[in-house]
Amino acid sequence: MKHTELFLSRLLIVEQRYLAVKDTTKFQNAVNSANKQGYFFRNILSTYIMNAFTFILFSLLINSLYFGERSPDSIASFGIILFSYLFLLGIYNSVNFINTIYAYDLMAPLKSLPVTVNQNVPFISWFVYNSSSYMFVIVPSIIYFYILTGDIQTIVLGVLYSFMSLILGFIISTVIFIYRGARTSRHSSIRNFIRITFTFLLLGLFYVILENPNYFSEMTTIFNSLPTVLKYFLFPINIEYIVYLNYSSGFIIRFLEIILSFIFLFVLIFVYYKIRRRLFYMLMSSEEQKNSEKISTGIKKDKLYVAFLKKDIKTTFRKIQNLTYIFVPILFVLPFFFAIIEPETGGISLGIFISIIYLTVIVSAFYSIFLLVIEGKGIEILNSLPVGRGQISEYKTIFGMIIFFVLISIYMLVMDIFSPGHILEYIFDWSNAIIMFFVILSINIRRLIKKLPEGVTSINYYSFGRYPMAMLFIISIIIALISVVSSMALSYFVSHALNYYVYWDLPVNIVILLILVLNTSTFKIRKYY
Amino acid sequence: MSFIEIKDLVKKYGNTTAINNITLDIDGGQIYGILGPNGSGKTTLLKIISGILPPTSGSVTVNGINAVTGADSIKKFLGYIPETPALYESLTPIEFFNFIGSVFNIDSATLKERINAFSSALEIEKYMNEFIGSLSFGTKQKVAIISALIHDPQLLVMDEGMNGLDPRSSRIIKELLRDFASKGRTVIFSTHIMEIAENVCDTISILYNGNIAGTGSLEKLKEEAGSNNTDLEEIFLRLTGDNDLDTLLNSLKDL
Repeated sequence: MKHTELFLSRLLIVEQRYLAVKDTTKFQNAVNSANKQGYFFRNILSTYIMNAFTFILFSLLINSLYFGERSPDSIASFGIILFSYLFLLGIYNSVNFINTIYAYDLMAPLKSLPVTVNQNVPFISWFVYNSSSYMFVIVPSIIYFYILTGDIQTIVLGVLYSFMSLILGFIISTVIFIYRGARTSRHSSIRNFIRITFTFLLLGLFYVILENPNYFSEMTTIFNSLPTVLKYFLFPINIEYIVYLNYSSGFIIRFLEIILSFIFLFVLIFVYYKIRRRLFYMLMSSEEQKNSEKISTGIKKDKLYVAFLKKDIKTTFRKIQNLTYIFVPILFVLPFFFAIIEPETGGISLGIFISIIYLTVIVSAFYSIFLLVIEGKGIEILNSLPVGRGQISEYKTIFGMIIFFVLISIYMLVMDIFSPGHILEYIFDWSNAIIMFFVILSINIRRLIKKLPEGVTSINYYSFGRYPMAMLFIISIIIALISVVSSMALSYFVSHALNYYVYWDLPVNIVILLILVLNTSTFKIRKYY
Repeated sequence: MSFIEIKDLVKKYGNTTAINNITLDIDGGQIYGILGPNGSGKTTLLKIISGILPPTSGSVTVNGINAVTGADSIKKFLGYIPETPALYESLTPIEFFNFIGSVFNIDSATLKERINAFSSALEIEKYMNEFIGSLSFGTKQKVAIISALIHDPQLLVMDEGMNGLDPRSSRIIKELLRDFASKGRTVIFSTHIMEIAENVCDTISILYNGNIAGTGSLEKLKEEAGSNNTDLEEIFLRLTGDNDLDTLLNSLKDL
């Protein structure tokens, strides 16, 4: 690798870091024009070291339960998870990297330099200064495996396959970028979604480990039953054999596996060479391409509620902070699901499901604040448009209901898969939850809109008076309690048992809903913000 | 009957009086400038006219519609450009225009035609697929201006709407406003930049401490100020009683 290529690659990363921090007060205060270059070079190095260190720690932490077992099978099975994680991280990170270069035309400064820019510069920049630090996530696993088995090949092939996982991720991102082209630009909804999904997958992984540490060693049994051709050729499943479990195989088999691994590597490099030119020229000419994009594409009138929904969905999904809030209700109920998945708790799964439902309804009540807060400064524009406060409440409620509907339907699906035989009860609970949440969301959104001060020019969590969250949850709990107590009372009076509460809850909630709809004063919203 | 009629208008924020008993008639088909220093009540007045803010007392009618009870009706023919371009930062200009077009029920073909024309005139085509949050202040201001114009409003209210525009765009907007007014539509804009008010406005009201210090064409204001050879800045200072700046400036020079 030439020095010029490394220098240019580093420049690309410097430009990205600069974009990320240029507006921060810390950067503006700490860095003067004389030492900016040094600041970024130090920053790149320290980030790399921090990444490597964090990944080693992370890996040690989640591996520690298996290290104690001293079982090569468990280490190998968990190794696949780590490699899959590395592969997904490679895709996510390279999508981010390529899109940022394209959107901000970061290759432009390289064009003016009196050197020929090598077509590998984007990849080198991404790999050397960024993603190679992720490879450290597998290091504890392969070293410990070597200690257990004395098989040095695991270390060599572990490093090779981690590189292959990353390059495969880069190739996939590049292909997506080439075929999606200019449309990828700075739109970050997909990126944000992937990021959040990652976070929750990791969280789920932790729960799985804590719930049942033997879970991963069971995977070896599953993989053993796969056809041989898949065990050797299907990436990343083949990693379990080729990287880890071949330590007891004969020399010829192991030699062939090494040959096979290098064939995989050459194929990946070949594919990369086929697409790098296209990627390079697209990145080098991003500004020209953007200028030539037809602006008329994408101009379209929608129905009012669709326009509001689109706006709110985009505002939510493009901001990682907003997207995180959407997933908060899952966070609260995630441990319950692992209790359901465990077969021995299947008998009480209906009770758990009801707990999940009520917890989700109460926690999701905060959507009513969140859905208004996402307006931010846009509220000033909204105030000047011919859209009534009642309409805004309705559209916000629709969006909140869609999110809740998706969540609760997934819950029901999971329940029915892991604890079948209660579909009628699930459907009753599912319907109850939807009606109850609609009541809670409608009341709270309307109540909060009334609290907004006149002529408000920006909405945040402080725009709704004192203790908005506390009030929100108190009101939501009261509504839920009215529903629960009434249906329990009805169940007891009619059948002298509480068991039929689930069935009585639906008519009770329908009555509450009707009271809400018929009570026009609840819907009456003050004329001005 | 005037296009906009303001009678005994008062607006208070707690104990602070932002608008202090203003009565004003604004005829349609003209560019009307509201001139005043910071904190004089310009933004409040424009928001009340636009039906965004209710007055404490008094009345405002726009085209015969009460700005309090008929606020939603006024907003149907209103284009409003806020003081700072407060837009949805996570949307692109195209998505934002689509949203505005959908709210005003503009058909796709017309929407496309208008967006293309305005974005080309204000040279923001290359930013159409960028997030609004990543645009410069001037470009955001252009986006806000286009969003206020795409539904072809009868009344355009610009609160310091020329802020942050480059000379070319500023010139285009001025021409656009003249053309807009020549078609019988009304533009009200606030500014504290004398040059803009002097060049663009048919009528000017000078707002000071929530009161109207003077109203009329530039010539009329010159007469009121007692000098035909003076510029708007001088008139402004005389009418607002701030003309004794020489002493202050001299004291600053001595520092």
